[in-house]
Amino acid sequence: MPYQTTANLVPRIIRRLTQVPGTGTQIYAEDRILEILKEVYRQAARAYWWPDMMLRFDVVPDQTSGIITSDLISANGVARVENFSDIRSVFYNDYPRPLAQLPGNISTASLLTGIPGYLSPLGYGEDPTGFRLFKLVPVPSGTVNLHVLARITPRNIFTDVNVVIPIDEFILINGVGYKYCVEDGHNPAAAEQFRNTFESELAGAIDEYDSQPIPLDTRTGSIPGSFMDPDLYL
Amino acid sequence: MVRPTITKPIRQQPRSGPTQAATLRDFNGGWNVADSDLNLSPRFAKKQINLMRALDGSVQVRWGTKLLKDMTGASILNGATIVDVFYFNGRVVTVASSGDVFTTAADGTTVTRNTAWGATTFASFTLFNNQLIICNGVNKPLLMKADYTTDFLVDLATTSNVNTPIGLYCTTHNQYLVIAGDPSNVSRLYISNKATSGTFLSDPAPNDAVNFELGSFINEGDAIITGLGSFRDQLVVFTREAVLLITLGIYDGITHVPKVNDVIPANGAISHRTIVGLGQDMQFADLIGIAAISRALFTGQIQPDRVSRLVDPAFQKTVNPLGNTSLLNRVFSVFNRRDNQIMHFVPNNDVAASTLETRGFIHTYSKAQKINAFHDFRNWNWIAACKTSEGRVVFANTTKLYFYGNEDNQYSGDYIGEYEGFSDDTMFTDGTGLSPSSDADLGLPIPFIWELPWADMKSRTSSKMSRGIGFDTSGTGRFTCAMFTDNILYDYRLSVSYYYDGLKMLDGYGDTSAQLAPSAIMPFVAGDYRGFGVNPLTQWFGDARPTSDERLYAWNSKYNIMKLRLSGTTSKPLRFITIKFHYETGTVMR
Repeated sequence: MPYQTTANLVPRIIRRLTQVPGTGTQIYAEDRILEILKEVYRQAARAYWWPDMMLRFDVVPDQTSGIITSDLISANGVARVENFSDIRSVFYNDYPRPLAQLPGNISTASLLTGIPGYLSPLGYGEDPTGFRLFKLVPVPSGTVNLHVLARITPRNIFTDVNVVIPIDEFILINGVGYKYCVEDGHNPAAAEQFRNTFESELAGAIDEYDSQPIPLDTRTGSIPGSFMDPDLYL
Repeated sequence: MVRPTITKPIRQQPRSGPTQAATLRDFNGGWNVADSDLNLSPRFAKKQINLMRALDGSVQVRWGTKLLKDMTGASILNGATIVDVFYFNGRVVTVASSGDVFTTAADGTTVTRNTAWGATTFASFTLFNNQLIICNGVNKPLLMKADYTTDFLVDLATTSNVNTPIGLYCTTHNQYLVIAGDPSNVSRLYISNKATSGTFLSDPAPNDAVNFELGSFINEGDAIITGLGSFRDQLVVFTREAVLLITLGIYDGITHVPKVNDVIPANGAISHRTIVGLGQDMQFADLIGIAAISRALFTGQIQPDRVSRLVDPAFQKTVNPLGNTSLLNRVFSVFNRRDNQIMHFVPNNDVAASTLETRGFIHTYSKAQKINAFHDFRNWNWIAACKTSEGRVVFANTTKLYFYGNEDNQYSGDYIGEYEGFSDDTMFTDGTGLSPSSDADLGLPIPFIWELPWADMKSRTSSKMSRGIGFDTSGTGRFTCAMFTDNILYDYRLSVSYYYDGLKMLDGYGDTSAQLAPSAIMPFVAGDYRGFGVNPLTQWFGDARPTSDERLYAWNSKYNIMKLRLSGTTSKPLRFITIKFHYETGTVMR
């Protein structure tokens, strides 16, 4: 995978910007480049549901509050789900469709009965650990299993320079190069080149996943080629 | 799925970006303390300590020194100290405080030539007919012949020196030996017989020697002669506040009648030792600064000038604490012909034993190249200096002689052969170092500071953003570049410091202490540094930022006005050729 750590990326960006490379050489550029790198990573990470960044969790909601009872942290502890918006889908037991988010115009959640439930993001101060992120509404009776598919963020990303950043290196390098060039007033053609390369790399990475020939439906057997509308034959 | 666009399209930009570049390469102005540095051209420097304008136009760390001879010892000085030195016929002639006279060859071989004099605090020298004449104002003058044999100056006819005057100062002009500075006749000139050095008034004929009183010619200040010089066809006599121009060789019958051609008031010399003849002009030091006389191009008249206007405040501050005796005996000058420099030295204390430094006011001067720059040389403590016929300069402290470096003898450290610094280019806090371990020693490192004036990039009220910095340098020395912004040089803060007795102030606070407050600071190494593993001994692992790299060094700071300060300590060659700067100009909104 073309992923790199901060320790590798920052010197490469410095070289790409035709600055003098070396450990601790660009003391007035490294911090800026790091901040810009954080911005570019955030933009690129949210541009697509990158399969490499998706992780599945099996959690159980509490039978009193409905809050899930385990953190959305990877088994080895190196990655976690940071925001409710990082959750792509939640399945309830063996229910075939993903759960919906609780609408905002429901007056009383207790009126919702006989349905698997809705997802409700936890409010400020409601999340006991910061990594529970949602609860099931209404509170289920009996043990329920929830299967969560969510986007993870590596732990200590950018604070530990040896943590791998799970976004294509060329997207990050060119994105940072563009923003740095614009701020520094470099040759606009150079800035434009960085921007074009950044956008084409990002679009290309998305295209690769979209056009990948791995089938999405592996069921065997024929699929009906026609159907009959029962209402027409009453 | 709609492809996300992270950035919106940007409008077509002109080919050149808003980042501008500025290059500083003219540093001929030198040190300037007279003008406000908020209003100075970058060709001047607010501080230029131990840096000089080199022959190639760059700013270079001054040359260092190498030990020529340690004259401490029973067989030489034997507890005495050096009073003055002079170069004669391939030897450095040294006069000691005991009155003894020595000669030292280039290989350090020292021979005692005369012990007839008594205690001496001053010496002056002049050449006459390929012989050296030495005066001390206490004893009769000495004559050193070409073979270095030294005896009293005598009348050749009688071999007696009974009529030879005792004086502090001597000079040769137009075939006459002139002596002055007689403590009993302070304004009298003793002029010898023509073409003979030892025949004075009252010696037997043939003799046209004459004594000439100048007191009635002087209309400003006291009439005490402080020095003599020879400038073209004029004998130049100095008092504290006047310069007299005299023509010798005018006769009324057989009587020699010197003629006073001109008296220039408001210019004078504080010491005979500061008078330096340069051919086209003559420089000397007075209480205000360094003055000069030169010949006007068309009229041929001698006219005075004050060449040290830009550093007069610093010179006056250094000279003011000195008493008359220190001014007469301990302020001195020497002409460094190889670097086109006139070096004027002033001790920092009126008491010789308490003098820790002799501050050098160095004047790099070349009329043809339009160079007229002063520099500030520190970290030396010299007693005397002389120039050799090869153009080299020899310095002397109380007991040792040193060669000064030049392009052919590139000494980058001080006291080579006597001390060596530590491998990180530092030394003991008292300015000394370790004993040298080999002939390849670099000596003690030379500290330097170059502080440029405040710069506004030709737009005083607009805010600017610096983006990059670079240098063209040569050598292998290291330096640190610091940038200050918006007239903020120091950070004055209360610190919890202590009195000298170790007690804390009652309120828990201490003295205010001013610390330099740069907005950006970075160490660099000069352009010839070859990197770890390639350079020989004293290699530092990790190295520094090479200034030979044409790529950018990010240098970010916002400012309206900015000042650069280059400083460091080095025992390796170091020259600054250009300073390159990248910046953007903003609006007046700060």
